[in-house]
Amino acid sequence: MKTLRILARFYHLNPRWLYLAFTIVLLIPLLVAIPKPEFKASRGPLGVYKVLDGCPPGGVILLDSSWDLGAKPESLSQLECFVNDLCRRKIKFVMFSTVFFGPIFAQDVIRPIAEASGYKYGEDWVDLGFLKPPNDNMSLLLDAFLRDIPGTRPVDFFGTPVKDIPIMRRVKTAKDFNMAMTISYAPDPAAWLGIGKSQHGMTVAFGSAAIMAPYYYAFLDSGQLSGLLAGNRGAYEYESLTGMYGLGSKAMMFFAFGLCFLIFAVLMGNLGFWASARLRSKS
Amino acid sequence: MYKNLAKAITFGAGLYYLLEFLLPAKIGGVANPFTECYGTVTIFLMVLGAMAFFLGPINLVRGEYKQFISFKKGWVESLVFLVALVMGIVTASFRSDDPSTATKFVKVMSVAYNGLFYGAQLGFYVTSMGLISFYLVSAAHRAFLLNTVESGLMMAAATIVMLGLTPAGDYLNQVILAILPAKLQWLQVGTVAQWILSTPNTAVQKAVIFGACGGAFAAGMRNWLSLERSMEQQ
Repeated sequence: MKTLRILARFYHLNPRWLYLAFTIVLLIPLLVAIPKPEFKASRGPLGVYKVLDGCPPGGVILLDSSWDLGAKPESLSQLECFVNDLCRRKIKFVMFSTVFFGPIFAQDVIRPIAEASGYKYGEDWVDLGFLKPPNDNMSLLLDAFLRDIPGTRPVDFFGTPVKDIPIMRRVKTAKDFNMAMTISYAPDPAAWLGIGKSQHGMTVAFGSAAIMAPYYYAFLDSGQLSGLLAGNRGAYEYESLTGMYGLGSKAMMFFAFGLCFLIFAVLMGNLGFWASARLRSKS
Repeated sequence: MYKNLAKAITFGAGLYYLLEFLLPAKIGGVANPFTECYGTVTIFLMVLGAMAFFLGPINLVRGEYKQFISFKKGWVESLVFLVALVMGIVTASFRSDDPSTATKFVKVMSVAYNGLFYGAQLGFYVTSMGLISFYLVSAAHRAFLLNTVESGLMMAAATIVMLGLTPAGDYLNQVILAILPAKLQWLQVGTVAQWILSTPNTAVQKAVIFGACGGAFAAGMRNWLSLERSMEQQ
């Protein structure tokens, strides 16, 4: 009876205690160095890695970096590990964003990596800036963009005409790209797979938030999606493949502690609920 | 008259995309005219969308201005909104990314813009996003109750997938590998989590996608043929 009463208190616990405990748990990875466990990369990150394996140095990738602060905790590490690998392999890339602040956030990540790798803006990479999907319909934008890039986006982020940008003289349509990678909270499969893959024959890979990833496994399973980076775990696994550890592996530990605490909170709540019910039935 | 005109434009616009998609690129040696002007049509739509962009701010300003003028409940928040809007527009209009050619006024505007955007807006955004994680913990504790078999199954699947997606699952795997016999080593958390994601989850997602696509097709047809009730009521 006494044990039941103690357990029942868990259910009526003041949430402030939970918040305090959550904060302390999240501080642990900051204070204690935790060794990385052994694991095998799953097929999503492995797929992205294999596609880049088949891309020759000097090849061009279309990179859609459509995220801002809301998705930053997961998309930032994905973009960082992907661009790191592109620069390591000397693969060029054309970037754009369908989120208004997307180009600013992406440049903060890309520019230091590109400069450290000796990439020149305009020759090895370019930022085409923000592209507004008509009526928020990504399929319409992508269809027009992949048919005629200079016609749909005549200038880059800084207002330079694309005809004056060396890398843009090489890429006019979808067939000029070796692959398309889109990193956002929830990439649009209808647009990228329906238009990019089915109509233009592009190889497509996604980087998405972990919470959205279950939706994309259906496309990974069917082979339409060549690779998938799911949240920080995707970035973490990709970093393990390239051997270039960065934000993904750092963020992963916080993510692990946070999720374990979430499971603990669910168990505690249920234990308290069960004990309360038993107490009620006994009395 | 106007109602029929709107219906005709809607039908014509839908027909354009349908014909552009269905007709081949060349018909008897002649290029498909719908494909030829596809880029122009898309840019036209982008411009149209950009025009609609102002509808939101105009409506907001009208509502907040009325609230502020009449000193109704929440007028202070309305004042904050109006001041922030004016400051945002002014600083964004006069700021410059190139400090070498900027005048003193432009430099002040650039500093104010950075303070507003990076200092205030991003700060508020990060804080609100951070608070969601605390709310999640509280919701998980209070609301995720195992009342039924379905909720138990969901809880078990969620726990395995959450563990499988973190290094905690990898540590558990090492323990499982050490304890379990070779025949049962497929019971690793990561393997089971991947199975859940790629087998039952994929089946459910495909069913949802089929259903959603059917619904989207029906909704698209109703919009195209102006059968939506809102159109009929106008």
